[in-house]
Amino acid sequence: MCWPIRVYELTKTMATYRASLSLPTAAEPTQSHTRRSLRAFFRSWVNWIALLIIVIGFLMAITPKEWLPHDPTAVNPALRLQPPSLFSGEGDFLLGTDTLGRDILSRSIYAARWTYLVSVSAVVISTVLGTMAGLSAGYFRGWLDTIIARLIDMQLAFPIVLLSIAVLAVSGPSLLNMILVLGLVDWARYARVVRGSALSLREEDFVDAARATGATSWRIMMRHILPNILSSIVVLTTFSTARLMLTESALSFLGLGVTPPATTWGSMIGGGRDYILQAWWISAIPGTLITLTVLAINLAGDGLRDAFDPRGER
Amino acid sequence: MGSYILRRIIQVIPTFIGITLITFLVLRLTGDPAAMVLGEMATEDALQEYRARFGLDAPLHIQYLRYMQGVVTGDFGTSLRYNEPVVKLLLERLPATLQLGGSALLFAIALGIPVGIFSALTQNRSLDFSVRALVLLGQAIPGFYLGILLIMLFSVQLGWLPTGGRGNLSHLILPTITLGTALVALIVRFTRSAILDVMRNDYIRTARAKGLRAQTVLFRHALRNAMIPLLTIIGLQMAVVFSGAIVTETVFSWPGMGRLIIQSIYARDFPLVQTAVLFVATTVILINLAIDILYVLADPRVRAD
Repeated sequence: MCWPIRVYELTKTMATYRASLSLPTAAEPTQSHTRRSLRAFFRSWVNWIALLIIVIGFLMAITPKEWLPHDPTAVNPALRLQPPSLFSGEGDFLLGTDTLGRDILSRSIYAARWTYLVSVSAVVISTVLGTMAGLSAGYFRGWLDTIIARLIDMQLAFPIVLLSIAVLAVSGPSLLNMILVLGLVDWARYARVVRGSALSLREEDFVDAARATGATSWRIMMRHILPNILSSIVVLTTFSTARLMLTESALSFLGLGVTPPATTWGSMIGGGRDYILQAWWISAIPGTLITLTVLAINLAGDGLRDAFDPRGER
Repeated sequence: MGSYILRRIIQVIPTFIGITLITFLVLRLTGDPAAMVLGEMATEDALQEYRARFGLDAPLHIQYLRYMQGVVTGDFGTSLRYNEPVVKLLLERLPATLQLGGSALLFAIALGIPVGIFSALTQNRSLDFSVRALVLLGQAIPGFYLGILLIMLFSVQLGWLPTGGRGNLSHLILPTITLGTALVALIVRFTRSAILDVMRNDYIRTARAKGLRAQTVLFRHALRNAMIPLLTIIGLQMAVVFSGAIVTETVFSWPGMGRLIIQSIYARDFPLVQTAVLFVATTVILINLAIDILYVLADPRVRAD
């Protein structure tokens, strides 16, 4: 009997045929895997709390300026360094005022939008750059891979804060420069992970099949390799968002942060540093907010990683 | 093994050249040094004269070659602010930074590894959970904010430790904790998961089955294999430690390289900033090279690759 061989051949032809129609041969297990992983993610109450904090942060970020109890940028020297009425019971500033008499509560909420804007935009830039670099290095190999691998080494050897300081010092601190600098210094982490995965995925049968049907390199990278790395990239972006938030706050603290009217939690901490003895609330409130947010993002990242890849790096 | 080490050393050369290129380009392309130094009020003549004096009117590649000539011969230029050789200024500040970085690293290893082991051995019990919660907190708190909090508590409220400066051992404690905390968190996390991974291996079960004491299995079998990757992790963190040192030195007025760099930036002393960036990046590369070589010596399996 020779029919089993025919069936086998038929299945193989079908697979090639499906690949040529770009039916999601490779992505199919990924999708059900995604659903299963997300279900695992939401089973943990820790992840729910992390998500709740992140959502609260986002709500703070999208709150219109007009809804805030006070104008976050209005300077009033007569009201400077008012203690929080939350604790003293006096005055109408729930969390006190800063050195220029601006309401800390309103400013903290107002700063959320800039804090999120800076780190999220920077993460988008570095994710796109790093993924493209890693994909092309891992897929094409050869001299391109050699160059990109060396660039990754170089980038990882640079102390990010130092490099950012050097660039910001010359180009001048501003919102856009901060986003660009943070976006450009973090690509190597993505490139390293994506390159590694692309190197092994390109040897898989489904890539051969796609190539056999005449798919272009771009199409293979985007439709066949990328979907398989996507979950690792998502996990990386969460940790990156948290890390860049911390980097941004350090740069702001050093006086190289965003310029007014933009305000981030980091620049608020830096602004209150010299008054910490008389008015702890200026630094402590944004400090607590940033710690909580970074904590929540890291927790969510841990949760996602465990859900997507229980055997992965911990 | 010799050829592997040689290859690894040769790989450093293009990386180093790339780093000189980046430090050169970053500072040249993002602004005109003449305008930066002389300020906005400078006349065009003054700008031209300055550019001519420092060779800034030459084409970019010629400038780079001149810069590289200086790098190779150890001439990194003169600080605009102190009017002294840049290398001398950096070397003067180096011991303070090394002391801070070294003690933070020691602190992180001495605390991180035992706590990580402990956390792994009590996996999923309440102690393990508290350790993990603290680790998450340690990773989330901005270093400078932690520093401010420590000063508030131990220097201002309790009056136990000085608020800043470099002096006897008591000056070192708060900066070390500030710089080391993120690293402690990382090492605890890594050690914990490495031990948990290693403990699942067959040879651990064999060692147990042989009747070896739990301690012997832990230290002789598990820990040795778990700790090798830790070297690499620590090596990759060197760049982060240097970045953290800049912030920590600023918070505690620690007279190291980081503070010098920040002051130079405000003083627009670009030769110093440029050299400092190159200096630190090179140090990080060399540390990682040393770790890679140690790695080969410690783990014969790597040599096979």
